[in-house]
Amino acid sequence: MHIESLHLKNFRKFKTLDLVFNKGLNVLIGENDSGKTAIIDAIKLVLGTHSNDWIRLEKEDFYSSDGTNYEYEMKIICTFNDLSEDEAAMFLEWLSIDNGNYYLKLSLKAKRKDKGNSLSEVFYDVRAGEDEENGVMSGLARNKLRATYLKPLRDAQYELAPRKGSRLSQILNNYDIFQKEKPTDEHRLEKIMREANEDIEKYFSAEEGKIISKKINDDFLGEDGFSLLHNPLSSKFGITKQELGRILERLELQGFSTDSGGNLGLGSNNLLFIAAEMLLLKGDNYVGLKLSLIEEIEAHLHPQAQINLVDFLSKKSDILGLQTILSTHSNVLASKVDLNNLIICKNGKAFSLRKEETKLNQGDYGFLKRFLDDTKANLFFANGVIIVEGDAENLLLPTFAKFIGYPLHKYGISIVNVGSTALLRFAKIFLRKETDKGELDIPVAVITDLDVKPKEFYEDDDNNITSPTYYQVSEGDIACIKAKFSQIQDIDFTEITSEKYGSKTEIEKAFKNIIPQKLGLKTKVGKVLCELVQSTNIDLNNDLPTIKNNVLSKKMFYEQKVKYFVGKDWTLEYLLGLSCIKNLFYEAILTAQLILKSDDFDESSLEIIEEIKEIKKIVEKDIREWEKTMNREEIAYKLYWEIMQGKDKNKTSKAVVAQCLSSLFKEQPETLKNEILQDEYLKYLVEAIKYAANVPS
Amino acid sequence: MQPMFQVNQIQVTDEDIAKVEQHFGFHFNGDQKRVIHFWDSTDIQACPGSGKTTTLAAKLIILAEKLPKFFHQGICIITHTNTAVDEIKYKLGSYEDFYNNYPHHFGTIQSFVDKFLAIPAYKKHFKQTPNIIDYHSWLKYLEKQPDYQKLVKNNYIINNNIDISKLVFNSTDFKISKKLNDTSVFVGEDSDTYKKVYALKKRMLEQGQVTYDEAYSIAFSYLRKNPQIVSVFAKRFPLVFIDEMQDMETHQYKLIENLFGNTTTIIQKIGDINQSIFSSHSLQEKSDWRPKTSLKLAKTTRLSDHLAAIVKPICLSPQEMQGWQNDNPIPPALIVFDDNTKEKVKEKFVELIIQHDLLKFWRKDKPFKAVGQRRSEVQNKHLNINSYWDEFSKETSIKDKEEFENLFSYLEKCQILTFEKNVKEIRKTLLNGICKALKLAEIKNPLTDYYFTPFSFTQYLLSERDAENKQLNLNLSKWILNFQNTDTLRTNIVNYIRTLLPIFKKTENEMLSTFLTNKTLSTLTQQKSTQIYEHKGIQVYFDTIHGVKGETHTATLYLETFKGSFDIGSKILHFIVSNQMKKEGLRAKPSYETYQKKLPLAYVAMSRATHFLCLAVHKNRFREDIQNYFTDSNNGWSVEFLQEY
Repeated sequence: MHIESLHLKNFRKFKTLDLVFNKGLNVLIGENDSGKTAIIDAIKLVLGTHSNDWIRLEKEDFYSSDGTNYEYEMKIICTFNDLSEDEAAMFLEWLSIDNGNYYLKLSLKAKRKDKGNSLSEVFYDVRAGEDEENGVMSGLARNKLRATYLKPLRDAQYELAPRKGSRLSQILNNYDIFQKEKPTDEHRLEKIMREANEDIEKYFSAEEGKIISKKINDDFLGEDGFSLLHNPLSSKFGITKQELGRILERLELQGFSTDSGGNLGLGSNNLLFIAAEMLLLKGDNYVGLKLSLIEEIEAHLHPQAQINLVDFLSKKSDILGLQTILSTHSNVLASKVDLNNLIICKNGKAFSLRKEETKLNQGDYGFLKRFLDDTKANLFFANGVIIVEGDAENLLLPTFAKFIGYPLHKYGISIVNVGSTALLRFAKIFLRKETDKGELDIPVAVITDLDVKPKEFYEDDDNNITSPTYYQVSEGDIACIKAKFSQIQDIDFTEITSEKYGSKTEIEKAFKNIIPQKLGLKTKVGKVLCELVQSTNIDLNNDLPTIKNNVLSKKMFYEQKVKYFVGKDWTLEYLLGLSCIKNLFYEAILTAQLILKSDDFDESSLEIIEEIKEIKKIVEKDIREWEKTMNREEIAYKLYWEIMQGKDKNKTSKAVVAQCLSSLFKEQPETLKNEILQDEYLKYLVEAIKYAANVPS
Repeated sequence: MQPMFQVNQIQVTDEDIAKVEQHFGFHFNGDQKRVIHFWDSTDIQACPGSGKTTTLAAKLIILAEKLPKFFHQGICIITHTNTAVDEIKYKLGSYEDFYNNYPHHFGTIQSFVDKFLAIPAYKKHFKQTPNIIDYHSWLKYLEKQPDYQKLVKNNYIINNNIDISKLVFNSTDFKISKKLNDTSVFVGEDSDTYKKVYALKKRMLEQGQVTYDEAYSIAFSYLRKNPQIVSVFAKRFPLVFIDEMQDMETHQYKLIENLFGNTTTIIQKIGDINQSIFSSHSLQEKSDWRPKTSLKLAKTTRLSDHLAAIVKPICLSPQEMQGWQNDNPIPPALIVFDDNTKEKVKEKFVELIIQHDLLKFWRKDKPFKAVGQRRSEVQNKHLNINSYWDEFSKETSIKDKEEFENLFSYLEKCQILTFEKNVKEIRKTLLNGICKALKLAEIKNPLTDYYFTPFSFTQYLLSERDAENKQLNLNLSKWILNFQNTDTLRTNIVNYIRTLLPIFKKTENEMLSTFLTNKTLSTLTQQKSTQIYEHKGIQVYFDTIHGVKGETHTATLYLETFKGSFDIGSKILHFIVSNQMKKEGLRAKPSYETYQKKLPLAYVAMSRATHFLCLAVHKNRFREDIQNYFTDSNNGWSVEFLQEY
C-alpha cells in the first residue's frame, strides 16, 4: 500500500493541487515558501504521525489569494492504492474497488468561521471512502495509516537518548518481541535486569560494596543515627524494579564509526535516528502504511551523507516496501535524484517529473538520462531557461545578454547547451502532459538556427553544389502510396503537397507527424514515398525565400511556456556577419585564428597586444573595402563561410570565436546597445533573452 | 516472523473453563465443554434452553484472552436479530467492548452486509452514502413519487395484479423482479412498463433510498463484479460465529455461503433447526440450513425432563433433548373450550397455575405467558389470540416510529422517551419534528438541495448560521430538561419553528399549520400495547409465538389459532398421537406441507416452559380418536373441559 495521490483544495499556497506520488522515493524540491512543507503537512493532517506530532489547522492554513481574505473551506484527499490482500482486509469496510484494484480514499474537509475578532474557529473531519461526507474510520484503523515523520530541525541526540517516553522506546514498543503475552510473564530483558539487580544487591550486601551499605545503615540510619526510634529506616543499593516498558525507555541507540570511536557528530546521530525510524516501518509484524515524511533532509547532514541516504532510499525503497516523501532545497541533492523521483514546487504548484507527466517521450527519459541528470538542478530552479544547440551560443549569450541590459544571473536564467539540434526536443521536459493541473511556470527559450543556406552558398562553385534542389510531393505520389497502403486512404495530405522540402528527411518527418501512430506504418510509408519523390532544381531567386519561410514557420514552436526563437537566416555566425556587429565578429574571427596558432596565448604580452592592434586595423580596412563592392549578404557569407569556416575545409573553432566575441563586448560603448536592440538579424537573440527574463518585448 | 496464530489451534484448558464458569457462576455440561473446546468449522445444533448464548459467550471470552497481541485480524459475530446481539453482549459483560471495536464485527447479518458490502459498493458507485431503511419508511418515500402514482394506474400493472411497491432489484442480476431471489424479470425488459418501473426504482436508488433487502442485492452485485474480495474477507475474518443460523433467510444464507463457504475462514454456525420460524412479512418458509454435524447442545436447563420428552418429537428434525430431573412433574394440560367458553381459557390457565402452586417458580425473567400464532387482523373472523382476550393488542411501539403526522405525536414520543436516561433520542425526536415541519414548508438544505435530516440540519446551522445554531441548542436543552408535553412547551416549539421559516424565505402553509396544531395521535400511535392479563393476582403475558422466541417461561399457554388451518386441533394433536412411522411421514412428505408449516411454531411455543405447559383446543377439533390418547394418563397429559357457567 502506498499513497498514490494527493488532492488539495484551498490549502495554504495551493488553490488546487493534484499530485501523483511514486511508490518509492519522492523528492519535493523548491525554494523557501514554495509549498513543500504544505504538501508534507497536508499528508500529516490526514494521516497523523507515529510520533503524534500535533498540527492544528488555523485560519492561515486556508488559501488566500490576496493575503487578507482567507477561504472558508478546504479539502485534502489522500488516495492509497496497491493494497495487498492483508491490507485490503484491514480496511475492508472503507475500501473502494476500481477495475479489480483496491484503493482507499481519505478525505479531510475543514471549515472556518470568523469570530468577532480576527481569530477564527476551525473544525474538520477525516472521512474514509468515496463519499467525502460520510464514513468515519475507527481510530484503531487510522492508526495503521500513520506516517513516520522526521522534523526539519531535530535534535537527534536528544531523540535517541534514554528518557521517559523516548522515541526509541516508542519504536521498539511497536515490535512484537517487546510484547508480553501475559502481564505475569517475565520478558528476557526483564530477566536480564533482574539478574543484574541481584548482582548489584549482592555486591552491596556481601561483597566489597558492603562497607558503603553498612556505613549508611549503621552510622546514619541505625540506632545511633537519625532515623526515628519507632520507625527505623534501612536501605539497600540496587536498580529500581524494571518493567519491560521502563527498560525500553532506558535504552539508547549508540552509534560507532571507525573514525570517531564513540562520539558521533550531529550528522551521524541523524543518520542513526533516521535508521531507527525506519526500524519502525520494518517491524516484523508491522501491518500498515510504510510511509516516511522527511522534512529538509539536509538539516544536520553533510552533503555526502545526504546523497548516500537519498541514494539508499531511491534504490531500496521498492525492495523494502517503503515510501518516502522528503523535502529539500538542496540542488546538489536534487541533482543526484532520478528525474522520475523529483517533484518541483513552485509558486503554489507542484510538478512531478515522472515520465507519465511530461511531454518528453518515455524513450527519451532513458536516452537523455545522463544529460538530464547533469543539468536538472540548473533547469528547474531557474526563473528562466535558455536552451541552445551549441558552444557558440553558450559562450556568447551571457555577455551578450549582459551587454543589452539583461544579465542572466540577475534574472535567474540558466543556459543549457544541448550540443546538437537533435537534442532540442529535450525542452519537452518542461511541457506538462495535462495542463489542467497547471503549467510549469518557467519560461523556456529555445534558440536555434534556420539552417537554410543562402543564395551565395549555392552560387559559389567551390562548394561543389552542381544544382541545388528541393523536393515537392505531387498528387500523383500521394495517389501512389494510398494505393499501396489502404489504411491511409482517408488521410488528408494537402499539408504536405503544398510544401517545398529541402531534403527527403524533412519529408519523412512531416509524414510521420501526419500518419497516426497506431497504424504502425509511420516509417514504412515515409520511406516508400521518399523513393517516389523526385528532386526539382531550385530557382534561387524565387524558391529560396519560400523554402526559408517554410522552414522558419515549421521550426517555430510555442506551447505552454516553451518558445522557440529561430534565427532568420542560416546560422548564428552568418547572422552576426549580417548584423550591426559584423566588425566585432570579424575581429573575433581573426583573434581566434591568432589564438589557435599560438600554444601559449598571453593577452598581456607586448607581442600579442601589437598583433591585436593590427587586427583591429585590418578589420576596419577590410570592411570598408568590401562595402564598396559587396552587398550585406555577400559580406556575411565571406566572413562566415570563407574566412571563419574556410569553406568547410579549414574551420576556425566556433567556440573560440564566440569566446573572443564575448570578450570584445566588454570594450564596447553603450551606444552599440541601442543598435543591437534595433538590429533585425539579432532580434531573435534579444527576444529569447527577454522572454527567459520574463520581460515583455 | 512470529508464527501465524491459527485460530483452530486454540487449546482451551480446564483452568480457562473454570475462569469463565466463575464469570457466569455456572458450570458447563459436557456438551457445552465440547463446543468450547472446538475451534474448527462446524454447525452446532442447540436445543431450547441449552445455554447456547452462554456457551457462545464463554467461547468469546476465552478467545479474547487467547488472541495474541500481534493478532491483527478480526473476529466476526453475526446474529439474525438485534435481540440476540444484546443477549450475547449482556453475557459478555466487560468483554463486549473487545468485540465491538475494530477490527472485529459484532452485529446482525444486516449490519454486516451494510457495513462491508452494500455501503462500500454504493459509495463507490454513487459517491454518497445510502440510507438503508426498513420497508415501511421506504414505502412512504415511494408513495411520494409522482411516477409511482401514475404507474399504479397503469393497465398492465393492474391487469397482472402487480404490486409495484414489492418489486425489487433482485439478488441474481440486479434486474427488477417480483421477489428478491428471483432470476427472471417481472416483465420483459424491453417493455414500456419495465422501463418506467426501472426509471422509478433507479432514481430512488440514486437518491439513496435502499431497503434492507435491496442492500443484499447491492452486496451480491458487488461480489459478482469483484469476486476477488472474497479472499479479503477471509483475511479479515479468520473466524466467524453465526448465531440464530436457523433464521437466516435464503439470501442471507447464500451470502454467508458465498463469502465464507469456500475460504480458509473457520465458521461456526449455531442454532436450532427446529426453531426456524420466519416472520409473516418474510417470504421464507423453511430454513436453508441443514446442520451437518456431530456437535450439539442437547441438555436443556429450561425444560423439565417430562416436558422435554413430550416436546422433543414435535418438530421437523428430531434432536436429542435432555431435560432437568423433575421429581414433581406436573402433567401438561389440554384445555378444551367451545365457542362460549373461549374467553374462559385464560382464567382456567390462571386457576391451574394456582392449583399447581407455580407462583413459587415465577421470576421476572420466567413469566407466565399465553401465546398463539396469529393475532387479530382487520378481518377478525377466524380464531386468533384476541378471540381469547379481546383487549390484547401489541402494536409497533410509538418508540419505534420515526415519523408522525403532527408535532403533538413527536412530543408524545419524547414524553415516553423521558423514561430513558439518554437524552440523545429525545433530542433526535425533537429535531425530527422540526425537520418534518421544514419539509412541509418545502424548505430544503441550501447546500445539498435535499430535505433536512436532524444531522444535516444541525450541520448546516453549525457551519452556516451561528446565531441560529446557538438558539437551537439553547432551546433544545431548555426543552429536554424536565420534558413535559404541555401546551406551553408546544407553543414554544411552534413559535420557534415559525422563526425558522423567514430564514429560508418560506411562509406557513396549510399543511404546516395542521402539523403544528393538530393534537390527534395517529391511529397507530394511539393504541397502547395491552399485553398483561391479570386474574386473581396472577399476571399472564399475551404474545405471539414470534414474540417469545428465545424466552423462558414458568408456564406457557399455547392457544389454538387459525391461519390456513387450525394449528393445535387440526395438526399438532394429530401429530402427537401419530405413531413413529406416521410422524416421519408428516415431517417429510410434500403432501403434509401444512403440518410442516405448523411444527416449528408449535415447537417454539411448547419449548418455553420450565414447569407447566398448557394447550388450548376447541371442542369440535378434540375428536374422539385423539381424546383417547390424551385422557390416557399413561401418555402424560391431563385434560380440562371448560364448563359453561
